[in-house]
Amino acid sequence: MLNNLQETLVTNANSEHYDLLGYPDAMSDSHGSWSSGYGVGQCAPGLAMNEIATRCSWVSSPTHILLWDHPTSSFGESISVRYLNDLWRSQLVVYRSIQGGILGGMVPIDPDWLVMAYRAVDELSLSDIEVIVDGLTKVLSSGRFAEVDISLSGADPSRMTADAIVAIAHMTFPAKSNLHAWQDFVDRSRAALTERGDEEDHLEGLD
Amino acid sequence: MLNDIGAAGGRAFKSFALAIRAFGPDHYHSGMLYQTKDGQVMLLHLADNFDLRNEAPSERYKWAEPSLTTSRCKLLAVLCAKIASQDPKIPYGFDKTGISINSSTGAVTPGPEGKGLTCASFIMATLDAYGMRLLKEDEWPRNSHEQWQNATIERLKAREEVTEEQLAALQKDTGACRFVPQEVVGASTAKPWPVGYEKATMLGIVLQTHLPN
Repeated sequence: MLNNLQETLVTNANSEHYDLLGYPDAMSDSHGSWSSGYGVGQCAPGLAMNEIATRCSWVSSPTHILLWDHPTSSFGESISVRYLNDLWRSQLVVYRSIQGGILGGMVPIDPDWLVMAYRAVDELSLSDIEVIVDGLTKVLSSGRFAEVDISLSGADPSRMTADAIVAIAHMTFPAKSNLHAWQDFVDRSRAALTERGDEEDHLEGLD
Repeated sequence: MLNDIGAAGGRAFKSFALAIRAFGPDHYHSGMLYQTKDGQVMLLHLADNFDLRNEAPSERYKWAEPSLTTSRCKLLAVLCAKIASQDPKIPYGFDKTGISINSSTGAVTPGPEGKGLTCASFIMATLDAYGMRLLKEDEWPRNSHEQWQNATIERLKAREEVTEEQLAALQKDTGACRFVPQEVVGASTAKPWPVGYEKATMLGIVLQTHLPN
């Protein structure tokens, strides 16, 4: 899913390898700030991606880059302290619009964005799971089942946290008769949870 | 088995739990304790006819940790907040048939006239929204709480908001299965769900011994 933006980022990061899970389509007019840890590194709105990439180079082993352009939310509102700790050690995250409800605003929902959001979910943070719930709420409430189907079939449970799997499986459960991909998603989720040794009862009751 | 309200919000609290208090011998009330996005602990409970309350819990409540994963507790906490934000008018009733809660929005869809919820069946309806079935409901006996149901009807007769139609429908549902608060809260600690009648009754009795009257 590399696009020019990501190529720019990777190119500018020189020797660093960035495993990008998603990309922004609106970073050029970003209103947000970015953070490389506990509020370190505020950047002006509209910061060029190559400038971010340059500033990224101090990160020793970044593994994920998420892109952020939500105008009002702060980094800390959406990503918990534990996650920030992880960032401080090894990752750079530029976080895009998760707080703003990415699921409601994209047609169809981009499965890669979903995965990206799900990766941001932290076991200790209620506010992080609310991001997913709010997004799904918007889509399911509007009856856009086809879009949810696309997301379900495209999302890869092996790349999601258990929290994320539970959120999507249970949130979509009441609409399962309208979702052709639902059962397949739940089956794949069970397999993914079992494979990595997570609690087997995460999806209990979804029969 | 039961924790003090002061412990809610601590490390052992998984964002969602069931709360219970005694009002007197064999008179209990239950609700859902949940953590809001900003970390506040609130109690969502059906206090009476059309009287859903979302408030800071009194110290008189105790809470039990449900046998749910942290992920599912967090999901339920979010749902509680959504229900509270809708401020639905939920009728009190002995039979919850036809009443459902929209897990996406927290909206409560009313059932036919006379159908309604109790404090305990409101909890069950909330869990049901996500396909979490707490009790093997078909094991519950009918006609075992008629005295309580008749007393409830008498109590409601004096209320302004209660219509003749609601009263008539409640009369018709006398004899319906009753899921009492101590069974529901006790059963929530068991694993696996759904919990059968005998086990829930036993857990309810154990739980009562931990509750001051």
